[in-house]
Amino acid sequence: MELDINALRSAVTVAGFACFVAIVIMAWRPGAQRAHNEAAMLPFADDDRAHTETGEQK
Amino acid sequence: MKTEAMGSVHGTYDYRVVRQFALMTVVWGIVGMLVGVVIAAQLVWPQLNVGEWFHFGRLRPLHTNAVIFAFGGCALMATSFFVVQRTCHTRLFAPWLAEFVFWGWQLVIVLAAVTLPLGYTSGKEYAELEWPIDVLITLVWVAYAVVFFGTIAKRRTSHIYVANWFYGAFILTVAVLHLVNSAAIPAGFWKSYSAYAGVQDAMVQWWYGHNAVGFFLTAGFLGMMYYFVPKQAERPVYSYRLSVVHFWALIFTYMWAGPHHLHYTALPDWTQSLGMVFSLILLAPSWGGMINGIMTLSGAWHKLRTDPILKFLITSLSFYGMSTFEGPMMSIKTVNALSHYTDWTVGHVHSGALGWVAMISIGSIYYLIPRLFGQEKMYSVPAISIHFWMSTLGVVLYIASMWIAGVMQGLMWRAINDDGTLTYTFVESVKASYPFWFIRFLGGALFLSGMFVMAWNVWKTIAGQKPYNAPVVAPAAAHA
Repeated sequence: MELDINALRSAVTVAGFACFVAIVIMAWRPGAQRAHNEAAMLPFADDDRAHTETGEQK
Repeated sequence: MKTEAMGSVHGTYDYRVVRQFALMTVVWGIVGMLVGVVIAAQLVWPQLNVGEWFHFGRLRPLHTNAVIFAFGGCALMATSFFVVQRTCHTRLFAPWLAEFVFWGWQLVIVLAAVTLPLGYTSGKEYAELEWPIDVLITLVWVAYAVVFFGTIAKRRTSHIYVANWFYGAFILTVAVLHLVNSAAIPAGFWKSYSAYAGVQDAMVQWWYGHNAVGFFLTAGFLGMMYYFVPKQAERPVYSYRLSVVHFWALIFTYMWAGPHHLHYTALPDWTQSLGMVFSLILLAPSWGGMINGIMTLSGAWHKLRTDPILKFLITSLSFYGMSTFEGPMMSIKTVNALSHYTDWTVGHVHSGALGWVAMISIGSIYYLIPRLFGQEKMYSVPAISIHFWMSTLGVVLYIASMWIAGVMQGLMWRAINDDGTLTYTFVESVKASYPFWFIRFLGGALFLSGMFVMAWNVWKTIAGQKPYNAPVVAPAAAHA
């Protein structure tokens, strides 16, 4: 096989796919669960309902 | 959710730019949809095509630009500036630059509203604006990216919440799409020629066009989904790891789907098939994301009965699921042979644009408005409910009439007599479409009327109220 621009294109495509498979494995590995739970709670780390000027909730 | 025992307060969030964009979302929503209703009426009553400035051919790009970039763009900028601050627990990076983003974007919109009716166009769908405006868009977009990513860089949380990943991908990709597709050789101030020629130009255009759908009209609004659905449902997203895979699957796949806009054209056959295959694959990440959003409500379905904002958000996801099933199906070459160039495509687009994009934006803006003006809720919650039913009924009328009209047109165009001649002339298919175009006009008018209900409700909520900026609280819970 000749190593030309098309071989490079194929290599990038395969590398992209391998990268995606790695991401799936990373996301589903048991160790990621704690970090995911933490991240999922980020919208609730504070409350955005109306507060008074001193920061007290109305 | 509990708010007590939080860390110390560090000034207030920059809500000013969020307020500006949120209010302009409502204004441009009304303007853009009004132009849509006008051109729908022009199809039913051709005598409404008055003069060269206001005929269908010039108002149609004005409609698409206004609803996508003015209404959708303002909604994305309002929510992204809100979400990135609140999930990073920090004020905006360079708020003065955010101010430039707001005024610059409004100027782009006004220039579009002037130049498109005057007939200045580069002729590329969803990228019609001529090169001086393209340069302004580039400047505004770079400023937008600097503010957004600058805010992420100075975050006080260890994680970057998934909504910000989607917003970030939307900002980065739209920058690349705009630069590549708008590359042109100017021939005077209001005229330019594309840097590409022939079928390459068509492919670049629809690489841009479909990724505008994928990243402007999908990724950005998924960012909205990942923040506002959990917040309104008061529970974290159904599966965070699914959201990670959802993100990367969408990013890797969307880029390839553009060729399905060029089936049976001069584009090489293998490229068409490649585009079709990747469009079919796209069903998986699309539905993964939709399921993740809808299942966030799992265990709290009863909230749907009483909360009209949640109705907007969840119904938008149902329409997202419908249109991302319909899209891959229409990308199949044999289906496309029937559907392409018919009103079926128009119906499909509006199932996504009204059902998904507009409804998730409307829900998110209803969430934001009271919080930006120190109120607990909108002035009238029943009015949100009325708006919800007007929108839903409007979309259903719109897409059902376009399905019927589209399939009918496709069948009439391909019908052949025994001797090989065409059964129908083109104008016969036009004549047969009139009743459905009228129903489409009614559906669109109903959706637009709902926006007026929203404008009234927003006005009553904010009239006489002082703008409110919430205090920045240290992210105590994030380290728990």
